[in-house]
Amino acid sequence: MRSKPSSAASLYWTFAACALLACDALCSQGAGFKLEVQLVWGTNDDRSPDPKHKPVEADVKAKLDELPLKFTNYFEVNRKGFEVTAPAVSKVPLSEKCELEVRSLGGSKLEVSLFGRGKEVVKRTQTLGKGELLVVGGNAPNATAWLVVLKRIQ
Amino acid sequence: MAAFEELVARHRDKVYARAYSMMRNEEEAIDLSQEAWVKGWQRLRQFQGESSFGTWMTRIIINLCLDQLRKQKRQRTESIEAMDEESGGVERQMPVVTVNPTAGLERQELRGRIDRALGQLSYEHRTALVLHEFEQMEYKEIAKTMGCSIGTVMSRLFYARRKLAALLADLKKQD
Amino acid sequence: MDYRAQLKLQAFLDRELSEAEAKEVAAWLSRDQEAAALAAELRHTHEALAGLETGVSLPESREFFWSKIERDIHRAEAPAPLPRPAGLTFIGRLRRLLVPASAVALVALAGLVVTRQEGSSRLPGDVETALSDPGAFTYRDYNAGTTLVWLSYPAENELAGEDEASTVE
Repeated sequence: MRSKPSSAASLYWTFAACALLACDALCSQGAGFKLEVQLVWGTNDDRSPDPKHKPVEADVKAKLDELPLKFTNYFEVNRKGFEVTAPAVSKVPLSEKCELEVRSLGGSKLEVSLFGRGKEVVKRTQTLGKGELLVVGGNAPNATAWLVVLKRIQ
Repeated sequence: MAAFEELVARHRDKVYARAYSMMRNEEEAIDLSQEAWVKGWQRLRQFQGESSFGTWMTRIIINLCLDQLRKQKRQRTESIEAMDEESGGVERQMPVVTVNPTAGLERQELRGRIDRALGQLSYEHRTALVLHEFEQMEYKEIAKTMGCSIGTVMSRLFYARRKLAALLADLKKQD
Repeated sequence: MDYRAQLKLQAFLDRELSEAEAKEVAAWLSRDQEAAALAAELRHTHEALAGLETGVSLPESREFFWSKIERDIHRAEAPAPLPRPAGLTFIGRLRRLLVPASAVALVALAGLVVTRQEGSSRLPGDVETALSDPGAFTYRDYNAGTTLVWLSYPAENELAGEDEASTVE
């Protein structure tokens, strides 16, 4: 008989803990998260004609090498860090003609739109975990490629 | 799916031949060919038409064979001869084979001799040879595929060619 | 003949040398008998290997080989079995002893599980809504957590800036 009050108490505290955890999860959906986007040039040349373009970091290179792309080298043309918080849209210009728009849809889901010369060229809904990459790319002159590499930092 | 089956029928021999050249084992070559075709189906949407479909498929089978060979190498104990082959040097001293060891041979017989000779090379040397002679890759491409330097590719190719010439000459002497 | 020279000779035969280097090697070959003999050996080996794979055929019938591939494709594409729901015993106890609180706790737990699952990038159904775009292909590497969307149009350099375009060209 003496165990009844303590088991009811432990059940109460378990419920309270679950409710707190659930609140924490639900509340954290409103918080933003940090992203980084790079405009990258893919090529088989050993260096970029522009000395300002440095090779991408080793971890990004390793992931790009795993993709079905034929390039041996990747050079960073531009890089921007930004935060995205629902419901606002983050607009990130990458070059004179290229802009990225990112909107958080809640949780780890993002809506990513890429604009070239003011025209939307691709729109994608993507779940992006920490450290994961979304790479959008296409052909560039002389059998090279442009790539927009979006990475979730936090 | 029916269209894909037709592609398989058209290119299966070429894909298998490449697998066999690299693996030197019929069963393994068949299994890896099968795996390559499944991968080909899964990646079909990424095929951009930059090369022929057959070439695209042979690249898939080459990578699968390389992965398998690397796995096998880790499991195998290296023989002293194989280690000597890899560290290089012996091919520099081999006397030049002055008589064409393949002259006068029927195609079938020649194929048999080359098969036997290829089977005696280590997988690194055989792969470099296959990629250059059958896949027509340049040194740079071979280096990227095999994950080694261009210098290593050149050494492996040179060793493989000289060893092959010596083996074929030996076989001719036995006639 | 040293080793470097031997490798250079090989590179010459493989057409890997620049024009200037190739001319040098050609001149050397014309005056050095040892080098010429080695070149002949390497050429014979190359000729012996030519067409070796022609005529090789897979030793299984078309139907049998295809049936195995088809089976493996279907197996790879079959949906994964649903996970069993967890915590039945805990929910059973709650129901018996604390009925209203257990219903709320169940909702809170469900919300927690759903939000945690959305953090995983392995959830099927990453929706791609490329704009009426038959030229866009998607490739997903689940191990590395990388998604590639490739737009397979001819290079117009639409998205790189002018300075990159000019340096690329």
